[in-house]
Amino acid sequence: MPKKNSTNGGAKKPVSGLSMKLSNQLDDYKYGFKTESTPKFKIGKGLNEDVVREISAQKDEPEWMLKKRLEALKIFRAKPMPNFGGDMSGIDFEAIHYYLKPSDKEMRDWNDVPEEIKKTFDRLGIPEAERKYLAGVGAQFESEMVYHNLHETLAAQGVIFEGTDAALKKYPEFFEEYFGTIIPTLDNKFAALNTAVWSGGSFIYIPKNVHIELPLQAYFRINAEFMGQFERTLIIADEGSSVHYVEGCTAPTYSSNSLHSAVVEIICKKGSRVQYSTIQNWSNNVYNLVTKRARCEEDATMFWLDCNLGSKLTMKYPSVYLMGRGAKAEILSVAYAGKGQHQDAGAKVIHAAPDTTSTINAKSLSKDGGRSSYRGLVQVYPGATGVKSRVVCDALLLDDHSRSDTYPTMDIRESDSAIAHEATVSKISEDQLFYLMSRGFSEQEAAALIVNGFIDPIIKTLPMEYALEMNRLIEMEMEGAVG
Amino acid sequence: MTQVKQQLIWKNFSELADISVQAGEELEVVGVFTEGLPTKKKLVAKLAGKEAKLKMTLIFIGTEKNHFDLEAVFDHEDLATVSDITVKAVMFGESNLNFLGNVVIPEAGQKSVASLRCQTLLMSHQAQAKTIPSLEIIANDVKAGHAASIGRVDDELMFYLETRGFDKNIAERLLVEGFLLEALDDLDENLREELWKNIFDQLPIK
Repeated sequence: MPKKNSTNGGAKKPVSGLSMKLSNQLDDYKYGFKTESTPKFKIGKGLNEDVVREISAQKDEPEWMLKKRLEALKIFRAKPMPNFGGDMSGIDFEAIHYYLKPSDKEMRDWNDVPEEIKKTFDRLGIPEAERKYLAGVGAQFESEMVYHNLHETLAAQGVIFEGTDAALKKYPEFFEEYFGTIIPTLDNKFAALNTAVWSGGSFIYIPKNVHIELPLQAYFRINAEFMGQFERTLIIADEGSSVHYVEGCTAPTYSSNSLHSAVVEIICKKGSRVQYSTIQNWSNNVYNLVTKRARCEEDATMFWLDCNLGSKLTMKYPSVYLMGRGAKAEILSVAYAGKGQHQDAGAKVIHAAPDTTSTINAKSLSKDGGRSSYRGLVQVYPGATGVKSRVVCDALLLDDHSRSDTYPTMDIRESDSAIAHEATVSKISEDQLFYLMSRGFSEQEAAALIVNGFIDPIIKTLPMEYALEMNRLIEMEMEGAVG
Repeated sequence: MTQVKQQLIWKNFSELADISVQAGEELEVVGVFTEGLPTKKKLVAKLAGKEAKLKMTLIFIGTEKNHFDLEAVFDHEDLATVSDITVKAVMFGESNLNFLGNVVIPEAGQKSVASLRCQTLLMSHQAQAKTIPSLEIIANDVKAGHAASIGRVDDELMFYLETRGFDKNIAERLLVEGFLLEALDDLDENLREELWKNIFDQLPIK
């Protein structure tokens, strides 16, 4: 018997797995339904100076951070919306809650979670403890002991891995030196917004010559808010060190907030290596507008791995500024745009020093009217001699009403450089389909295999569990892709 | 359908004009631009009928402080249209190139084939180039690709020629000639020679 949720009175739809035909919910977003809320003290909607002061006060921040927030608010108001990218007309800045403590977050009843999400969890093999968390039912993991032990191992090596809120108080010297230096408040409207209302995120410091073998993940931050809407992450890899940080997960992640605007700043000192992998699968009501940038000193390497699967509109261009001789940038990206989605993603590399190299490999899939766009920049400054850069973009259109775009810019001001770019757009090769089908696969299975092969070069750089989940997720998305 | 073949030659930047290729037509366009213009030029090329074909070769020779700013759109408006665009630029002195080439294939352009190739040689320290080859594809049963490269004359090739007795200037000239002549390969001999003379006169390296 379907359970009715009637505390909010009025127009509530009876929820049951059988009756929930998501494709008919034209007005609701993909995981749409209303929740029962028990309001505690909560900052109201809309953005103004009081909200910003309240955020800073609740976090008990130093005076200089409050000043920076207030200055950022002014800049946010003054800056125009970007004149490129997706359609942002649906964003109503005054209808958003800019700060919610985890305990204030509207919690769902497990019974209200749509059947489709529960099925996805089953298919992806998500552990029981994580399901409730991901579905917005639980505020944090119940099992924290595992993660606590990891913390001790890292601390013994001098590594700092904390939530940004706590780190600001414990290690203010890092913040005073680096916060806002890679992505200044004036950079763009959404960087200013984040600087005004940021909350949560990770702070990582790796000491000289320390190598962290195990990928660090946001899960491991104890008592942290999972995937906050305005996360601010700062990673500092000291000389000769290396670290791999993983953000997000493949499982569909519900968010009641429709605007996510994170900022990630990374400093790679001489000879260091940082890999930052992101897998984003936000529900289809989310505008995901992110600014991510790394600065590489001499001989340092920055590796961005960016997987964009969800959200209504994602505008994200992980960048690397190569400031020291011999620095390297590698950016791999996979974008999947399904019904009602627009993935406007890409990469930016600025070569401001000699003998620097960059490789950008972007793969995208479009289906059911989705639109995926690659927007990139390779810039070489005068004096940056001996630069080599290669950009490869491949797009697969899975049906005849989806869209793929490529807008790469090459701005080269130094003749002693070798810059190359190539892109292809096509559908699944009929020859390949025929080959597989004549060996016993159904058309759907064959298409799923081909798509997995298409994105494989990028997926295989992910930690194994993520790679497995990605493959399963793509297989699921491919159901109904053909015929 | 027999292909009606036509040819169009642009001898300088101001001759550039919009084109529209009709069903069953095949149009070949060659543009050689040795003098820049201070303003941006916009070119709209439509493949307006079934099986229309466009082959376009644009050659830019930049010298002194010449400036080339071109935005070109190639619109595959109908079934099975074909576009094959090659842009070759050699920039000397303080010249610079700003090129945006956009290939658009809307839903009506199923079975189309598009290829956009843009190669630039920067011959001096102050020469600059900014190229944006872009694609906007909605039809899925298509083959669309683009490629762009920017760089200077290949060191290894220079070494090869110099070790066989050519002096630096001549070696450079030979490589630039080879780079440009490749784009004119498909033209008939007389036309090729005529265009080549124009290009050769402009090259500051002899």
